[in-house]
Amino acid sequence: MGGVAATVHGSSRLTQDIDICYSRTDANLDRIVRALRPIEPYLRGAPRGLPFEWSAKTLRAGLNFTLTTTAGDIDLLGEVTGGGGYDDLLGHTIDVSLYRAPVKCLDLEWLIATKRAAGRPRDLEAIAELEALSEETDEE
Amino acid sequence: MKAITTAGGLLLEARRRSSLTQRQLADRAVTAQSVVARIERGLSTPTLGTLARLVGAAGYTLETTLVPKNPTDPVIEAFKRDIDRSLLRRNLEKTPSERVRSLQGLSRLAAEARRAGKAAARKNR
Repeated sequence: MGGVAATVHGSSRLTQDIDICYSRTDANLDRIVRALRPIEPYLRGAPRGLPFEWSAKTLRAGLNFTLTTTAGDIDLLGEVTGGGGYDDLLGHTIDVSLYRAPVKCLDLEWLIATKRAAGRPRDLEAIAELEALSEETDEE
Repeated sequence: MKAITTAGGLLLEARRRSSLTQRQLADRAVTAQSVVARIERGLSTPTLGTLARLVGAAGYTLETTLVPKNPTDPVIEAFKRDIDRSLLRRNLEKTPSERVRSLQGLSRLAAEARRAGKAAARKNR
């Protein structure tokens, strides 16, 4: 989702974080915890020293997490405004291969729709570019 | 008032505004109360003509209008005018993997530019 998904669709804008909508099944929460533990996830913007337990229990107790890690910033989204959760979005994704791994990327139509639904002024320029991309691909 | 998007919702609203029971509306529309009930509960979908006749019996005229799914935002349209479409077309010629690799390269450049900027600021103090 987010800036990396926009890049997949042809955006020229720079993004500094990765936005991921995640499935909230117990098995997947365990997988996320294991996968990210080596890069030391911590709450972005929280004062250092604030206790934060990186665990499935923490993920289960919350929904959307803005994290900083040793590899960069990651937003873990259990639910997306205007889109819903992982299961709601799954049918609106395309399959891409990134770093030789299969990745589900939100399709352009739904990327635009969720950005519009979020209603953030800072996204207006990004939405304009995505709609221009959509027009360019429609013309092909 | 929020837009009503179902036939049943429209009929219910028309009936409520005219303070009619389902039976009273059905009698005026020369139909069965069960027909009104099924439409209001969403169990049956009337034709536009039938719906117009029913809301007409409640004293209302049915008007429909087309609303764009994605209404035009003048700010977004203004931003669109400034977009370099030749750059977008170049990106569209690349595979998704190539696009993300370009992003990585740009991110590294941005990180290096920030480092250089901080170093220059420290030197100039």
